[in-house]
Amino acid sequence: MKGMEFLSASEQYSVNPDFSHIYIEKDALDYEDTHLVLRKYPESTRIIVDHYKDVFARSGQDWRLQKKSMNLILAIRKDQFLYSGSEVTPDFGYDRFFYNALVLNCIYDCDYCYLQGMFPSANVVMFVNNEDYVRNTLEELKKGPMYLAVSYDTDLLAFENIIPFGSRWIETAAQNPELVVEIRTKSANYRAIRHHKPVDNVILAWTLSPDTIAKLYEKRTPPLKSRLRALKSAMEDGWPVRICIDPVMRVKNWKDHYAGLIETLAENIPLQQINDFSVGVFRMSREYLKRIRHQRSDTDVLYHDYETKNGVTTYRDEERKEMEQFVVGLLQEHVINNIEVL
Amino acid sequence: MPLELNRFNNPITITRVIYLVTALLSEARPLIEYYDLKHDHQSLKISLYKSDEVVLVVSGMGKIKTAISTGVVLSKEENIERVVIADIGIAGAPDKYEIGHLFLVNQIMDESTQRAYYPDIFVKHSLKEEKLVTADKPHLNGEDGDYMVDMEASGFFEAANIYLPPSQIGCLKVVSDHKKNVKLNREMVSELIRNRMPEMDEYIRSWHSLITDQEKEILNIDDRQLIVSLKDHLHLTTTQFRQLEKLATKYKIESDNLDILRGFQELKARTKNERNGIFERIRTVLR
Repeated sequence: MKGMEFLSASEQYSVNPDFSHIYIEKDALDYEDTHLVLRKYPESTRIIVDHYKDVFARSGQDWRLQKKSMNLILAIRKDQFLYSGSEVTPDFGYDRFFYNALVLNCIYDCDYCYLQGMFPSANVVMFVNNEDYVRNTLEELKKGPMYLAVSYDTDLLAFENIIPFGSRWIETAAQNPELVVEIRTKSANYRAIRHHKPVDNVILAWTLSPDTIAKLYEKRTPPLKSRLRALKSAMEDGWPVRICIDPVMRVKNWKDHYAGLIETLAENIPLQQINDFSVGVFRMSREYLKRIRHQRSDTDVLYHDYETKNGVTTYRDEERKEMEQFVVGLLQEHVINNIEVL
Repeated sequence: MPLELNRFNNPITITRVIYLVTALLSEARPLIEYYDLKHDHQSLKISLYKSDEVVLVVSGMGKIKTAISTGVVLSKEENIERVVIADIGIAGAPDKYEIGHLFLVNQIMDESTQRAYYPDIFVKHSLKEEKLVTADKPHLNGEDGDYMVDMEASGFFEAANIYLPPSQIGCLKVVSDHKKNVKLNREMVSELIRNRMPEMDEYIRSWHSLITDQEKEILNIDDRQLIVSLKDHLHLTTTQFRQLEKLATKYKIESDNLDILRGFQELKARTKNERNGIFERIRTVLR
């Protein structure tokens, strides 16, 4: 009669740790970075695949469940080593703004993250042929100075202990002064790149949120205190540092939370020495938001009374302006300019 | 059984079913015994055995029969988010694996199409994982290849994946031979499966619990009935109804209930203007 009691008790189970399964493109097997990763995860189950999309782009994957137990896919990028910047991202005044995709997806789990709507899977893809990215970038650089965001559809510094992409791009930028590289992060893992001498054309950018917002919406991320400590160390070491207050979220008492954030920043960081600031409210492609709503219903980020213009969903104009003006106003009490509003 | 509204706002009964698929009755027999399943005589074309929580399909041999049977049973399932389905059976394996060894399959390769399928495996388990090749004909000559061989799994996965994500599809195989022509009678096949029932059961239970423990809908049946009644009562447009659903969900996350909407059930809208006015008031209180 086991069937009768089969599901009556509350069953106990544990979820596999992240990267319990590593899928490896057969063409990627001989790459040094593949060996590097496999040495870091000797216990993982290894599965050889023809192409990373055979796993990454399967139909109907459960994004939320995958996020609880992310797997890793090691692959070779064959083309598209550079993308032109999109309209919803800052270009910081550079005409030739590019980003690349060394890694797809992120170790963090932010409710507002567009990656949930962009990729069919929450598994992490790492491309192990960094040298091809570098070669293509240097080719493009021959056409003129360029700005390159290398931590774009991911958080590269959070993965630095697995494959040191950040270090490699710092070295590339150090040898090519006309290449401005931005490494944007929410991580506190500055120590992983601290051994490098500061490079003027490498901007280390930290995305900061009030602790309340981080606790609500930025799961798995380090707390504000840790991010600030990392940011401060980088500043003290002489790196150009950018602060991104993005996305600004309209939660209950949002003004208090953001006022508290700027106050904390002013108390702990010499804000005049920050390279620049970028401020932007929550915004997302309408299509991505639609897909995310299909996957999950557990976060109020999805249900605000937004409006959509030109395919981008964001706060209504009056709300957006109020939020931007409020945060920029707070910053302007401490710094005069170099604030970019997105 | 608890009730819920489906996406068309019709009440449905919540069930949490485990579907099991085997090719042969001899593979099914230990499952029938273990879960105390009863033959469903109403199902004429497909051989089904059931309890309240387990549905077993005996499909017949080969990937086409398995795909059809799998598709038929899943097409009738209303609570698709709460079910798992596992293909269970015997398979040939390389010499290095002992007869009777149980494997959890992490990669299924269809031999004829060379298409690969990947079940997502999230639950920690003590089983060994292996690759399985689904062949159209039995491999009986001791072929090389560091993988197991069966004749159903790719058809099973292809059909199941129409209805379910890869996280709700699984495949468990017991080694029956070393890809050589050995005589296996029905009782031997049943015995191979029977000996591994506790391990299979433990894995399936944990896996099913993980799936059914996933986050529930924010709006419960009372909330949805309230929203639908406001829609009908106030003659809201489809766009207004969708906005109301989103705003109500956000409000419920923040405030834990929708009591604030109950007063609007008393209001009447005789014109479009009145309806739009009331809807604006609803939006204001929910924001």
